[in-house]
Amino acid sequence: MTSSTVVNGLRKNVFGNTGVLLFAVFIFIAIFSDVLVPYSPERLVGIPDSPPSAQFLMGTDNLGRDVLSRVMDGTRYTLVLAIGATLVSLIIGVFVGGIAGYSGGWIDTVLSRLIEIFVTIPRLFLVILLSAFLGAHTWILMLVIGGTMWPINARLMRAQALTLRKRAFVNAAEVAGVGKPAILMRHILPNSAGPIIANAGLQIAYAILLEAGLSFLGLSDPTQISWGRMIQDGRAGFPYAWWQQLFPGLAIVFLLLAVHLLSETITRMHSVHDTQSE
Amino acid sequence: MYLYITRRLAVAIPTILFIVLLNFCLTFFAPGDQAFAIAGENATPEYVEYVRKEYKLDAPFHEQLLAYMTNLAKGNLGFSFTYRQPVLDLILSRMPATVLLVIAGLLLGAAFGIATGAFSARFYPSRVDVGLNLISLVLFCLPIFWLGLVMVLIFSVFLNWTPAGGMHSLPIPEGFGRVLDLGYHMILPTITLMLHTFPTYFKLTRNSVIEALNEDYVVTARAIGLGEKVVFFRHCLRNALLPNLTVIGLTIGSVFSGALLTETVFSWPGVGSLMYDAVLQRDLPLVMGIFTISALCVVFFVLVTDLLYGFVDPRIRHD
Repeated sequence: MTSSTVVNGLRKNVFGNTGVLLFAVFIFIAIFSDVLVPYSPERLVGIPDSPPSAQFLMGTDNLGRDVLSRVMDGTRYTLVLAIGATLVSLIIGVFVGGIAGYSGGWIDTVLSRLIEIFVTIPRLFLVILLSAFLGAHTWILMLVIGGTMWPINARLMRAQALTLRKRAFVNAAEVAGVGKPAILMRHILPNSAGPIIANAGLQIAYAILLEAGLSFLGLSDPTQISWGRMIQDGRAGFPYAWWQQLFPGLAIVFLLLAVHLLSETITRMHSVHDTQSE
Repeated sequence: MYLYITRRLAVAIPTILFIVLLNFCLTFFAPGDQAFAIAGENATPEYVEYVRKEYKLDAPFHEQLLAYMTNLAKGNLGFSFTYRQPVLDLILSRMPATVLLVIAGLLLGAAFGIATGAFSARFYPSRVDVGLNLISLVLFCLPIFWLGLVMVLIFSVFLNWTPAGGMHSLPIPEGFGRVLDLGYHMILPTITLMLHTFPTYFKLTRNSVIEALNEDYVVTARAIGLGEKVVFFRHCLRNALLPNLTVIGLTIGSVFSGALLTETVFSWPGVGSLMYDAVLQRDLPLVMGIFTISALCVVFFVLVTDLLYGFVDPRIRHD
């Protein structure tokens, strides 16, 4: 028993705090990267393919641009894209799931089938197809990535709406003559936020991975520096110039770790809060 | 059972229709000339004219859709001008390599994940469990293409143990040597895909075993005085393993996606590296064909695992 409390305490403090700290660092870099970068990320500042040194901490790429500056610059793009895609996914998921769960009947059947269809189709393939056809611009990527991640939100929302529509306050509103759309917007949605927000962290992590995979395949906004794209570009010097791939990859790994640890902490705090209030 | 099969089919068929409809709408609403969207940007003028007629591009929406579906049903997925081959032939020639990789990675990842998950749950709560959880989390955070590159760097470049890519040595060995050679080339891509699949199964097994350890029937088994080993393996693990079967169906799509990126890294001559080339060359008919065939493959595999699940667990099909 004591060992379990010790281990849990350890996990909560050390891992949770690491997650918060790491994420804060990434946010800080994302906001202030223009000031923080040692060199301009697009300028040719050194000899091409020079290994990490005191002058270039992460080396230079095949054109002689500073890898560290490029990694830092890529942080904002990655975060903006991932958060944007998650918002798109939240909006679609909440509406599809909310309407399905609250309406019931044939609407629910149709929408549930639609959710199942989107769960089955391999996401990376779908995202590649859509961005290859529609063009890989930041806005389109956001919509496309968000447009394939929503089924999980829809499922969570549908489950919430199914239980909420039987609750007394919803019935009271119905009896009082409030319209269905208003009930959905004013009573069902606000009361279902918990599990969906708890899951948003995982969605951000998933969006980061999808974007990285896409840009590794060459489907990224050409005007932006993307980590996946950097890894692909670095393959020209592989395996000799390993730093061109190692560091952007590590950036992805650490950002994902931060997001996961953070969202785990938030979920745990949420569940602690729930058990206390009951 | 028949009712169950019918119901599963009722889910698969709309999915297939949706895939077809999505493809069609992309070509129909694509900016620019629709014939080029179907034929590809580097098609010859004669082929573009042929496409215009074959797909009835001057007709209204519903007639076009019908023509599109007829062509698809005949196995006509268009012509790839980068490879100078019909898209379907091209994909089918690459599919075996991908399916081999997917099945190897999926089965090994699932087996390894389930075994480690059960092991971790047995030692819950302890530092062993925390450590294994952390490893699983880190693996979950690794982009698979980067993991592949790091593996090549370590095992092929520094240690020189395994080939860095490809599927065969040249010249291709004869007879049994060919199988050995294939296995040798498969090691790294398979391990990469396995490590990608591992965390899902690890987490699921660990959590369901821990949950099962608190079930009444486990408490009863212990109260009867059965040994801890018997309780764990016969009562707890057996019941906790069932959810893994449904997850196999759900993860097939993600394993296919992982295989796409893995193949690109290891120059594995499957559908994934074909997709990469197609995107690079902007060969849209090929991109669309790969999407269609891969999605159909996944739908098929999901259907098969669903049916198997119904077969193994009677509760599912009577639900």
